[in-house]
Amino acid sequence: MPKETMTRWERVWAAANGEKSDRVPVIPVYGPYGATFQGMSQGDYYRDIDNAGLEAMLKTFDDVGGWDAIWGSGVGFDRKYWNLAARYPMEVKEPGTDTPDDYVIQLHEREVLFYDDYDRIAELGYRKFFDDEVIFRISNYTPESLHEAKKQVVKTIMKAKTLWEQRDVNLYYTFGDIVPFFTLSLGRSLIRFTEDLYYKPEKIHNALRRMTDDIIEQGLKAAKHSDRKINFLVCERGSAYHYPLDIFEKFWMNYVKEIIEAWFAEGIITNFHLDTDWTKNLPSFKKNLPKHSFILELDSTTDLINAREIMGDHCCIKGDVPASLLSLGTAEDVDEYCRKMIREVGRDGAYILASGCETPIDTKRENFLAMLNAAKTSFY
Amino acid sequence: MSVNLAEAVEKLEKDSVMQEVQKRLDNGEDVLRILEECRNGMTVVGDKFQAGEAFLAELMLSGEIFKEVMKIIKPHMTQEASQEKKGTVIMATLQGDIHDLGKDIVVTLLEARGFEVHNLGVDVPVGALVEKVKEVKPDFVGFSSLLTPNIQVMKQTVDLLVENNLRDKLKVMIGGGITTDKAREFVGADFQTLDANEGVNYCVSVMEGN
Repeated sequence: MPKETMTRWERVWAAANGEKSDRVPVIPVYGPYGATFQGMSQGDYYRDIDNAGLEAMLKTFDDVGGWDAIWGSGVGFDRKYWNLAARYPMEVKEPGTDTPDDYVIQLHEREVLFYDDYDRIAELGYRKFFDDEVIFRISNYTPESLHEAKKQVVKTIMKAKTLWEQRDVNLYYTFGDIVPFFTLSLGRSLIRFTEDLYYKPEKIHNALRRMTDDIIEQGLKAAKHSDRKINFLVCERGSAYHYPLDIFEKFWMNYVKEIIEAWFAEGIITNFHLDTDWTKNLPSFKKNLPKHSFILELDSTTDLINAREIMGDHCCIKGDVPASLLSLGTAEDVDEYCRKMIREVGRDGAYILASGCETPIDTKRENFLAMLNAAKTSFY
Repeated sequence: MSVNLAEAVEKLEKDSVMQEVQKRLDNGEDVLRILEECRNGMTVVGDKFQAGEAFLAELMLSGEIFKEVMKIIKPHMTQEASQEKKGTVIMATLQGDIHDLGKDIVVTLLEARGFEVHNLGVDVPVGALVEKVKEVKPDFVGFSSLLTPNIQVMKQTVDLLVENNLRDKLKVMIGGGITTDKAREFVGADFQTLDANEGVNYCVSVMEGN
């Protein structure tokens, strides 16, 4: 068996830049599965996410011999991370508090942004508008408890970062945010936002303009103080599954292109977390975004092999062991799938093996290990 | 000049559809004919979506237009016309999952195609689902989910339908991002899809004996 010749981060960074690393890197989308692996209920995990929850994540990492970078902030996402750190405009339903102990954490979508809020976002910026108003529409925080919770978020993220680094592993990305189009869709709700796009789109552009400028600035500021230059953008809506390509170009790519170009000019590579089928949108990514300026993290709805064919060597691809395979399949099924992706998508490097979206909480232990092992034994 | 309602629905011309429907109602036109024209427009959008030529946005918006049309048409429908139905469906997101977007799109499409739909909502306990099946004796039950643990719950529900001798009297459909054919086999469902319109067409074809 060949030996590893790169550090974890060197391996990840080489793949992100479109190169071959010593072996295929692996970075599962990981959080609450750490609790399952340790035999802890989801309720227990979320009730003490900053301590016992984090410990479960760390211990699982140690028990399986680790992997190449830690997705997310290094801690699980509970209400305060979804709402205060990520500023998701949605109600969070936490296991053990809002739902029974064995449930999955879920975000509840309803209309919490109203049509005139596009003007408020354009005027104040989304972050300020969210912190001043939206958070109180979706949670029971008071201005006082909000302040304390925010302090706690920062404290725990710093603690987690240190604990992971003690294990010689880095957080995968330095700065994370939501594609502006997706934020508005979540806050307005899918149907209302779609009606706005089709019947009264004027105000949307003003909001997107301001959100784009703010994200560029915040992403640059965060990356300036880090030697790891990967930022993160999530979008689960906007693909040609949801909308025609002209809407995607006008409301999505038009603004996202600015973000990617501004960040890439400062050496930052953007990891796109893209759920649903983006196949028809991929030529636009290739045409509009600079080579090696981004990573496509796909959820198994977009055919990964086809994505590689379309993108060629233009970008790194990350993914995409399907959630149902991890929970229902056998270790042999998972191994076979991973090795196929490594062969077909990672043939020339520029590939990171990962779960397609979140590693489900009912992932079989042997399947999680099979996914990690496939990468750890695939040398270039 | 009269507007072609099917075409207007297909083009998502909401205002034009609503004005035309109102005009025709005022003129005493047969409500079932109006409804059929709107339904035809929706069917075209649905078929295009299934063929990859239309988008979820268009499918949703045509459904929203249809719902608005129903609101103004319903008071004009005779009791007989209101009760005419293609089949009965129970739709639910089962215990453990609170996602409802996908399920609600299917519900809208089924209603538009003339099915009586009992939408039980989200986080539905297995027992409540079975009780509802006993009560309404549906032709179909449909489960939608985005979370893998829900596949087990779907299986428990189907097992309970078997125990209660209800399973062979209906078809079970599953859908949502995490479902696959393997999940369908595991659950013991008859049909699985990621495509709302395909689910509706399945119901139509079963009821038509195809």
